[in-house]
Amino acid sequence: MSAHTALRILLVDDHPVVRRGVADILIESFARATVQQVSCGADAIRFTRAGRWDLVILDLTLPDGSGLDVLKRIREIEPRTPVLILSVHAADQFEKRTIAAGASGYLTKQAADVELVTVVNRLVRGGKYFSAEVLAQMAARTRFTSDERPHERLSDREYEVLRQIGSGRTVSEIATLLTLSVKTISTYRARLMEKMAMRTNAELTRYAVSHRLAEDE
Amino acid sequence: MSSEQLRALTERIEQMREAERTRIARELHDELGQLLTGIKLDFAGAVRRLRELKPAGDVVDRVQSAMMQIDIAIAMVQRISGDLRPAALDHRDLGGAIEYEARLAAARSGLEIQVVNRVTNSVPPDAATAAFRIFQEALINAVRHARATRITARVVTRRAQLELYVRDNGVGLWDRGDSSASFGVLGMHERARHAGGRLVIRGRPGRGTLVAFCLPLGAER
Repeated sequence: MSAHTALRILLVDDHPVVRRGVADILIESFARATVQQVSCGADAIRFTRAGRWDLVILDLTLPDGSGLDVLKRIREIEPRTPVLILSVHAADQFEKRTIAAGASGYLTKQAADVELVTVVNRLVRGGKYFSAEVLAQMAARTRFTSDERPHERLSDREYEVLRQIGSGRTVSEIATLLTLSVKTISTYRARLMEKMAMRTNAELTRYAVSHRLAEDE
Repeated sequence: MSSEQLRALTERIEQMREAERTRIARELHDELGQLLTGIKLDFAGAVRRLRELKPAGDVVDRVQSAMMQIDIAIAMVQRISGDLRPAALDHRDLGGAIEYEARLAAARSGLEIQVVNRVTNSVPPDAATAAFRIFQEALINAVRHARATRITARVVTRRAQLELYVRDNGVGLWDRGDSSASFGVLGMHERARHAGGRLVIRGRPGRGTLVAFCLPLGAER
Protein backbone atom coordinates (compact mmCIF):
# COMPACT_ATOMS: atom_id res chain seq x y z
CA MET A 1 0.00 0.00 0.00
CA SER A 2 1.45 3.36 -0.97
CA ALA A 3 1.54 6.28 1.43
CA HIS A 4 -0.79 8.16 -0.90
CA THR A 5 -3.65 5.75 -0.67
CA ALA A 6 -6.39 7.03 1.60
CA LEU A 7 -6.22 4.81 4.65
CA ARG A 8 -9.43 3.68 6.31
CA ILE A 9 -8.91 3.20 10.01
CA LEU A 10 -11.38 2.05 12.64
CA LEU A 11 -10.45 3.43 16.04
CA VAL A 12 -12.03 1.74 19.06
CA ASP A 13 -11.54 3.44 22.44
CA ASP A 14 -13.97 4.60 25.08
CA HIS A 15 -11.88 7.57 26.22
CA PRO A 16 -12.68 10.64 24.12
CA VAL A 17 -9.43 12.43 25.03
CA VAL A 18 -7.31 9.49 23.95
CA ARG A 19 -9.39 9.01 20.80
CA ARG A 20 -8.93 12.62 19.83
CA GLY A 21 -5.19 12.51 20.46
CA VAL A 22 -4.77 9.34 18.39
CA ALA A 23 -7.04 10.57 15.58
CA ASP A 24 -5.04 13.83 15.47
CA ILE A 25 -1.78 11.99 14.96
CA LEU A 26 -3.29 9.79 12.25
CA ILE A 27 -4.91 12.62 10.33
CA GLU A 28 -1.81 14.81 10.51
CA SER A 29 0.44 12.02 9.31
CA PHE A 30 -1.64 10.21 6.71
CA ALA A 31 -3.04 12.41 3.99
CA ARG A 32 -6.72 11.76 3.28
CA ALA A 33 -6.97 9.11 5.99
CA THR A 34 -10.46 8.33 7.24
CA VAL A 35 -10.62 7.65 10.96
CA GLN A 36 -13.90 6.22 12.16
CA GLN A 37 -14.14 6.51 15.94
CA VAL A 38 -16.27 4.17 18.03
CA SER A 39 -16.37 3.74 21.78
CA CYS A 40 -17.45 0.17 22.51
CA GLY A 41 -16.95 -3.42 21.44
CA ALA A 42 -20.44 -3.83 19.99
CA ASP A 43 -19.89 -0.87 17.64
CA ALA A 44 -16.46 -2.15 16.74
CA ILE A 45 -17.99 -5.42 15.57
CA ARG A 46 -20.85 -3.64 13.80
CA PHE A 47 -18.45 -1.37 11.87
CA THR A 48 -16.14 -4.26 11.06
CA ARG A 49 -19.09 -6.04 9.45
CA ALA A 50 -20.36 -2.95 7.65
CA GLY A 51 -17.18 -1.61 6.05
CA ARG A 52 -13.74 -2.46 4.80
CA TRP A 53 -10.86 -1.25 6.95
CA ASP A 54 -7.15 -1.13 6.33
CA LEU A 55 -6.53 -1.23 10.05
CA VAL A 56 -8.42 -1.55 13.32
CA ILE A 57 -6.92 0.16 16.35
CA LEU A 58 -8.39 -1.43 19.44
CA ASP A 59 -8.26 -0.65 23.16
CA LEU A 60 -8.13 -3.57 25.59
CA THR A 61 -10.50 -2.14 28.18
CA LEU A 62 -13.92 -1.37 26.79
CA PRO A 63 -17.16 -0.56 28.61
CA ASP A 64 -18.87 -3.67 27.27
CA GLY A 65 -16.13 -6.16 27.95
CA SER A 66 -12.56 -7.12 27.18
CA GLY A 67 -10.94 -5.94 23.98
CA LEU A 68 -9.48 -9.44 23.64
CA ASP A 69 -12.96 -10.83 22.98
CA VAL A 70 -13.60 -8.10 20.43
CA LEU A 71 -10.26 -8.92 18.81
CA LYS A 72 -11.28 -12.56 18.40
CA ARG A 73 -14.63 -11.57 16.87
CA ILE A 74 -12.96 -9.19 14.43
CA ARG A 75 -10.54 -11.93 13.39
CA GLU A 76 -13.52 -14.21 12.67
CA ILE A 77 -15.33 -11.59 10.62
CA GLU A 78 -12.35 -10.10 8.77
CA PRO A 79 -9.33 -12.38 9.21
CA ARG A 80 -7.22 -10.28 6.85
CA THR A 81 -7.68 -6.90 8.52
CA PRO A 82 -4.73 -6.13 10.78
CA VAL A 83 -5.59 -5.21 14.35
CA LEU A 84 -3.32 -3.02 16.46
CA ILE A 85 -3.88 -3.19 20.20
CA LEU A 86 -3.42 0.24 21.75
CA SER A 87 -3.56 -0.02 25.49
CA VAL A 88 -2.63 1.78 28.69
CA HIS A 89 -1.40 -1.55 29.96
CA ALA A 90 2.32 -2.09 29.79
CA ALA A 91 3.21 -4.62 27.13
CA ASP A 92 4.61 -7.15 29.59
CA GLN A 93 1.16 -8.00 30.91
CA PHE A 94 -0.85 -8.42 27.76
CA GLU A 95 1.30 -8.66 24.69
CA LYS A 96 1.51 -12.44 24.66
CA ARG A 97 -2.21 -12.89 25.01
CA THR A 98 -2.89 -10.49 22.16
CA ILE A 99 -0.42 -12.25 19.88
CA ALA A 100 -2.19 -15.52 20.63
CA ALA A 101 -5.54 -13.90 19.89
CA GLY A 102 -4.35 -12.80 16.46
CA ALA A 103 -3.35 -9.15 16.83
CA SER A 104 -0.74 -7.75 14.45
CA GLY A 105 0.81 -5.39 16.94
CA TYR A 106 0.81 -4.05 20.48
CA LEU A 107 1.51 -0.45 21.40
CA THR A 108 1.08 1.37 24.68
CA LYS A 109 -0.80 4.63 24.55
CA GLN A 110 2.04 6.44 26.27
CA ALA A 111 4.29 5.61 23.34
CA ALA A 112 1.68 6.53 20.73
CA ASP A 113 2.97 10.07 20.17
CA VAL A 114 6.37 8.73 19.11
CA GLU A 115 5.63 5.31 17.64
CA LEU A 116 2.13 5.27 16.21
CA VAL A 117 2.96 6.42 12.68
CA THR A 118 5.76 3.86 12.28
CA VAL A 119 3.55 1.09 13.60
CA VAL A 120 0.58 1.97 11.38
CA ASN A 121 2.84 2.08 8.34
CA ARG A 122 4.21 -1.32 9.15
CA LEU A 123 0.85 -2.96 9.87
CA VAL A 124 -1.00 -1.73 6.79
CA ARG A 125 1.82 -3.26 4.74
CA GLY A 126 1.19 -6.62 6.36
CA GLY A 127 3.95 -6.37 8.98
CA LYS A 128 3.87 -7.06 12.70
CA TYR A 129 4.88 -4.99 15.68
CA PHE A 130 5.77 -6.67 18.96
CA SER A 131 8.64 -6.28 21.37
CA ALA A 132 11.54 -8.62 20.74
CA GLU A 133 11.53 -9.60 24.39
CA VAL A 134 7.98 -10.91 24.28
CA LEU A 135 8.54 -12.79 21.03
CA ALA A 136 11.50 -14.51 22.64
CA GLN A 137 9.29 -15.47 25.56
CA MET A 138 6.61 -17.02 23.42
CA ALA A 139 7.70 -20.47 24.49
CA ALA A 140 5.45 -21.80 27.24
CA ARG A 141 8.36 -21.96 29.66
CA THR A 142 9.41 -18.58 30.89
CA ARG A 143 12.38 -17.89 33.08
CA PHE A 144 12.65 -14.72 35.10
CA THR A 145 16.02 -13.99 36.56
CA SER A 146 18.00 -11.07 37.80
CA ASP A 147 18.66 -10.46 34.10
CA GLU A 148 15.33 -8.71 34.52
CA ARG A 149 17.47 -5.89 35.87
CA PRO A 150 19.11 -4.78 32.63
CA HIS A 151 20.09 -1.48 34.24
CA GLU A 152 22.85 -3.40 36.00
CA ARG A 153 24.54 -3.78 32.64
CA LEU A 154 24.85 -0.02 32.25
CA SER A 155 27.97 2.00 32.81
CA ASP A 156 27.90 4.46 35.72
CA ARG A 157 27.29 7.38 33.39
CA GLU A 158 24.52 5.61 31.50
CA TYR A 159 22.92 4.61 34.78
CA GLU A 160 23.06 8.19 36.02
CA VAL A 161 21.36 9.40 32.83
CA LEU A 162 18.67 6.72 33.23
CA ARG A 163 17.98 7.85 36.79
CA GLN A 164 17.75 11.46 35.71
CA ILE A 165 15.29 10.53 32.96
CA GLY A 166 13.34 8.63 35.58
CA SER A 167 13.17 11.82 37.61
CA GLY A 168 11.55 13.59 34.71
CA ARG A 169 14.50 15.66 33.53
CA THR A 170 14.99 16.55 29.89
CA VAL A 171 18.20 15.89 28.04
CA SER A 172 19.24 19.54 28.27
CA GLU A 173 18.50 19.66 32.00
CA ILE A 174 20.59 16.55 32.54
CA ALA A 175 23.39 18.07 30.48
CA THR A 176 23.40 21.17 32.68
CA LEU A 177 23.26 19.10 35.84
CA LEU A 178 26.14 16.84 34.90
CA THR A 179 28.06 19.65 33.13
CA LEU A 180 28.21 17.72 29.90
CA SER A 181 27.04 18.67 26.43
CA VAL A 182 23.53 17.90 25.22
CA LYS A 183 25.09 15.80 22.49
CA THR A 184 26.97 13.66 24.98
CA ILE A 185 23.84 13.07 27.05
CA SER A 186 21.91 12.16 23.90
CA THR A 187 24.60 9.63 23.07
CA TYR A 188 24.42 8.09 26.54
CA ARG A 189 20.66 7.98 26.24
CA ALA A 190 20.76 6.26 22.85
CA ARG A 191 23.30 3.76 24.11
CA LEU A 192 21.43 2.89 27.27
CA MET A 193 18.19 2.51 25.34
CA GLU A 194 19.90 0.08 23.05
CA LYS A 195 21.43 -1.87 25.93
CA MET A 196 18.05 -2.11 27.60
CA ALA A 197 16.21 -2.89 24.36
CA MET A 198 13.80 -0.01 24.80
CA ARG A 199 12.21 2.07 22.14
CA THR A 200 10.80 5.17 23.79
CA ASN A 201 11.38 7.58 26.62
CA ALA A 202 8.06 6.47 28.11
CA GLU A 203 9.35 2.90 28.33
CA LEU A 204 12.55 4.08 29.99
CA THR A 205 10.59 6.13 32.49
CA ARG A 206 8.31 3.23 33.29
CA TYR A 207 11.33 1.05 33.87
CA ALA A 208 13.00 3.58 36.16
CA VAL A 209 9.81 4.11 38.18
CA SER A 210 8.88 0.45 38.51
CA HIS A 211 12.40 -0.41 39.66
CA ARG A 212 12.44 2.65 41.90
CA LEU A 213 15.70 3.85 40.39
CA ALA A 214 14.96 7.55 40.77
CA GLU A 215 14.38 7.18 44.48
CA ASP A 216 17.72 5.92 45.73
CA GLU A 217 19.29 9.34 45.70
CA MET B 1 -17.42 -16.12 68.90
CA SER B 2 -17.24 -19.68 67.63
CA SER B 3 -14.42 -20.73 65.35
CA GLU B 4 -16.99 -21.24 62.59
CA GLN B 5 -18.11 -17.61 62.94
CA LEU B 6 -14.53 -16.44 63.08
CA ARG B 7 -13.81 -18.29 59.90
CA ALA B 8 -16.84 -16.77 58.18
CA LEU B 9 -15.78 -13.32 59.31
CA THR B 10 -12.23 -13.78 58.00
CA GLU B 11 -13.63 -14.95 54.69
CA ARG B 12 -15.88 -11.94 54.47
CA ILE B 13 -13.06 -9.50 55.28
CA GLU B 14 -10.82 -11.15 52.72
CA GLN B 15 -13.54 -10.88 50.07
CA MET B 16 -14.11 -7.21 50.80
CA ARG B 17 -10.41 -6.53 50.67
CA GLU B 18 -10.12 -8.16 47.26
CA ALA B 19 -13.15 -6.29 45.93
CA GLU B 20 -11.70 -3.01 47.16
CA ARG B 21 -8.30 -3.72 45.65
CA THR B 22 -9.96 -4.59 42.35
CA ARG B 23 -11.96 -1.39 42.32
CA ILE B 24 -9.09 0.92 43.29
CA ALA B 25 -6.66 -0.75 40.89
CA ARG B 26 -9.14 -0.45 38.04
CA GLU B 27 -10.05 3.16 38.75
CA LEU B 28 -6.43 4.15 39.06
CA HIS B 29 -5.38 2.37 35.93
CA ASP B 30 -8.38 2.83 33.67
CA GLU B 31 -9.57 6.26 34.76
CA LEU B 32 -6.54 8.16 36.02
CA GLY B 33 -4.17 6.33 33.67
CA GLN B 34 -6.28 7.04 30.58
CA LEU B 35 -6.75 10.65 31.62
CA LEU B 36 -3.01 11.18 32.01
CA THR B 37 -2.42 9.48 28.68
CA GLY B 38 -4.95 11.77 27.03
CA ILE B 39 -3.20 14.81 28.50
CA LYS B 40 0.12 13.54 27.22
CA LEU B 41 -1.26 13.07 23.70
CA ASP B 42 -2.68 16.60 23.84
CA PHE B 43 0.73 17.95 24.77
CA ALA B 44 2.28 15.93 21.97
CA GLY B 45 -0.09 17.61 19.52
CA ALA B 46 0.82 20.99 20.98
CA VAL B 47 4.54 20.28 20.57
CA ARG B 48 4.06 19.35 16.91
CA ARG B 49 2.23 22.62 16.28
CA LEU B 50 4.71 24.66 18.31
CA ARG B 51 7.60 23.26 16.31
CA GLU B 52 6.01 24.56 13.11
CA LEU B 53 5.69 28.01 14.68
CA LYS B 54 9.34 27.94 15.78
CA PRO B 55 8.78 29.83 19.03
CA ALA B 56 11.60 31.72 20.74
CA GLY B 57 12.97 30.58 24.10
CA ASP B 58 12.49 27.22 25.71
CA VAL B 59 8.73 26.77 25.27
CA VAL B 60 9.06 23.45 23.46
CA ASP B 61 11.52 22.21 26.07
CA ARG B 62 9.14 23.14 28.87
CA VAL B 63 6.23 21.30 27.30
CA GLN B 64 8.39 18.27 26.69
CA SER B 65 9.52 18.35 30.28
CA ALA B 66 5.85 18.35 31.32
CA MET B 67 5.28 15.32 29.08
CA MET B 68 8.07 13.48 30.82
CA GLN B 69 6.54 14.24 34.20
CA ILE B 70 3.30 12.77 32.87
CA ASP B 71 5.20 9.62 31.85
CA ILE B 72 6.34 9.32 35.44
CA ALA B 73 2.82 9.78 36.75
CA ILE B 74 1.57 7.07 34.37
CA ALA B 75 4.33 4.70 35.42
CA MET B 76 3.46 5.30 39.08
CA VAL B 77 -0.22 4.65 38.45
CA GLN B 78 0.78 1.38 36.78
CA ARG B 79 3.07 0.38 39.60
CA ILE B 80 0.54 1.11 42.32
CA SER B 81 -2.37 -0.56 40.55
CA GLY B 82 -0.24 -3.56 39.58
CA ASP B 83 0.81 -3.96 43.22
CA LEU B 84 -2.84 -3.94 44.27
CA ARG B 85 -3.98 -6.43 41.65
CA PRO B 86 -2.52 -7.20 38.22
CA ALA B 87 -4.90 -6.25 35.43
CA ALA B 88 -4.37 -9.61 33.72
CA LEU B 89 -6.47 -11.21 36.47
CA ASP B 90 -9.45 -9.17 35.37
CA HIS B 91 -8.92 -10.21 31.76
CA ARG B 92 -9.23 -13.87 32.66
CA ASP B 93 -5.51 -14.43 32.27
CA LEU B 94 -4.30 -16.22 35.38
CA GLY B 95 -1.12 -17.42 33.67
CA GLY B 96 -0.30 -13.88 32.58
CA ALA B 97 -0.89 -12.52 36.07
CA ILE B 98 1.44 -15.15 37.54
CA GLU B 99 4.13 -14.39 34.96
CA TYR B 100 3.78 -10.68 35.71
CA GLU B 101 4.18 -11.25 39.44
CA ALA B 102 7.14 -13.58 38.86
CA ARG B 103 8.87 -10.97 36.72
CA LEU B 104 8.40 -8.29 39.40
CA ALA B 105 9.52 -10.60 42.19
CA ALA B 106 12.60 -11.67 40.23
CA ALA B 107 13.54 -8.06 39.58
CA ARG B 108 12.96 -7.09 43.20
CA SER B 109 14.74 -9.96 44.91
CA GLY B 110 17.26 -11.20 42.38
CA LEU B 111 15.68 -14.66 42.61
CA GLU B 112 15.51 -16.92 39.63
CA ILE B 113 11.89 -17.76 38.98
CA GLN B 114 10.75 -20.09 36.27
CA VAL B 115 7.12 -20.21 35.27
CA VAL B 116 5.47 -22.87 33.18
CA ASN B 117 2.14 -21.53 32.07
CA ARG B 118 -0.25 -24.08 30.62
CA VAL B 119 -3.57 -22.56 31.43
CA THR B 120 -5.79 -23.53 28.54
CA ASN B 121 -9.26 -23.63 30.09
CA SER B 122 -11.00 -20.50 31.15
CA VAL B 123 -10.58 -20.01 34.90
CA PRO B 124 -13.44 -18.31 36.78
CA PRO B 125 -12.46 -15.03 38.49
CA ASP B 126 -12.71 -16.29 42.09
CA ALA B 127 -10.62 -19.35 41.34
CA ALA B 128 -8.03 -17.22 39.53
CA THR B 129 -7.84 -14.80 42.45
CA ALA B 130 -7.38 -17.63 44.96
CA ALA B 131 -4.62 -19.23 42.90
CA PHE B 132 -2.89 -15.91 42.32
CA ARG B 133 -2.88 -14.90 45.98
CA ILE B 134 -1.63 -18.35 46.99
CA PHE B 135 1.17 -18.00 44.45
CA GLN B 136 2.06 -14.55 45.82
CA GLU B 137 2.15 -15.83 49.39
CA ALA B 138 4.30 -18.80 48.36
CA LEU B 139 6.79 -16.39 46.73
CA ILE B 140 6.90 -14.21 49.84
CA ASN B 141 7.49 -17.20 52.07
CA ALA B 142 10.16 -18.64 49.80
CA VAL B 143 12.07 -15.35 49.81
CA ARG B 144 11.49 -14.21 53.35
CA HIS B 145 11.41 -17.39 55.38
CA ALA B 146 13.12 -20.06 53.33
CA ARG B 147 15.93 -17.93 51.89
CA ALA B 148 15.41 -19.66 48.55
CA THR B 149 17.39 -18.64 45.47
CA ARG B 150 15.38 -20.48 42.86
CA ILE B 151 11.65 -21.02 42.42
CA THR B 152 9.85 -23.09 39.85
CA ALA B 153 6.15 -22.56 39.36
CA ARG B 154 3.79 -24.50 37.18
CA VAL B 155 0.20 -23.55 36.56
CA VAL B 156 -1.93 -25.84 34.44
CA THR B 157 -5.51 -26.63 33.66
CA ARG B 158 -6.08 -30.33 33.19
CA ARG B 159 -9.50 -31.77 32.49
CA ALA B 160 -11.77 -29.72 34.74
CA GLN B 161 -9.08 -28.92 37.28
CA LEU B 162 -6.72 -26.07 37.99
CA GLU B 163 -3.35 -27.02 39.43
CA LEU B 164 -0.65 -24.76 40.79
CA TYR B 165 2.74 -25.95 41.99
CA VAL B 166 5.39 -23.74 43.51
CA ARG B 167 8.68 -25.33 44.40
CA ASP B 168 11.60 -23.55 46.04
CA ASN B 169 15.14 -24.59 46.94
CA GLY B 170 15.18 -22.98 50.38
CA VAL B 171 15.68 -24.37 53.86
CA GLY B 172 12.29 -26.12 53.83
CA LEU B 173 9.47 -26.16 56.33
CA TRP B 174 8.77 -22.45 56.28
CA ASP B 175 5.42 -23.14 57.90
CA ARG B 176 7.00 -23.86 61.27
CA GLY B 177 8.26 -21.58 63.97
CA ASP B 178 8.11 -18.11 62.52
CA SER B 179 4.72 -16.62 63.38
CA SER B 180 4.46 -14.30 60.36
CA ALA B 181 5.13 -17.34 58.18
CA SER B 182 2.47 -19.34 59.96
CA PHE B 183 -0.08 -16.58 59.49
CA GLY B 184 0.78 -16.58 55.81
CA VAL B 185 0.34 -20.34 55.66
CA LEU B 186 -2.93 -20.18 57.57
CA GLY B 187 -4.17 -17.56 55.11
CA MET B 188 -3.22 -19.77 52.17
CA HIS B 189 -5.11 -22.72 53.64
CA GLU B 190 -8.16 -20.60 54.35
CA ARG B 191 -8.12 -19.20 50.84
CA ALA B 192 -7.84 -22.67 49.31
CA ARG B 193 -10.65 -23.97 51.47
CA HIS B 194 -12.91 -21.06 50.66
CA ALA B 195 -12.33 -21.47 46.93
CA GLY B 196 -13.28 -25.13 47.27
CA GLY B 197 -9.80 -26.43 46.53
CA ARG B 198 -7.07 -28.38 48.26
CA LEU B 199 -3.70 -27.06 49.39
CA VAL B 200 -0.72 -29.14 50.42
CA ILE B 201 2.51 -27.61 51.66
CA ARG B 202 5.36 -30.03 52.05
CA GLY B 203 8.79 -28.97 53.21
CA ARG B 204 11.85 -30.98 54.07
CA PRO B 205 14.76 -29.49 55.98
CA GLY B 206 17.43 -28.44 53.52
CA ARG B 207 15.49 -29.70 50.54
CA GLY B 208 13.07 -26.94 49.82
CA THR B 209 9.33 -26.63 49.93
CA LEU B 210 6.56 -27.61 47.55
CA VAL B 211 3.21 -25.87 47.53
CA ALA B 212 0.49 -27.70 45.62
CA PHE B 213 -2.94 -26.24 45.05
CA CYS B 214 -5.69 -28.10 43.21
CA LEU B 215 -9.10 -26.76 42.43
CA PRO B 216 -11.95 -28.42 40.54
CA LEU B 217 -13.13 -25.82 38.03
CA GLY B 218 -16.72 -26.96 37.99
CA ALA B 219 -17.07 -26.33 41.71
CA GLU B 220 -16.95 -22.55 41.61
CA ARG B 221 -18.95 -21.10 44.46
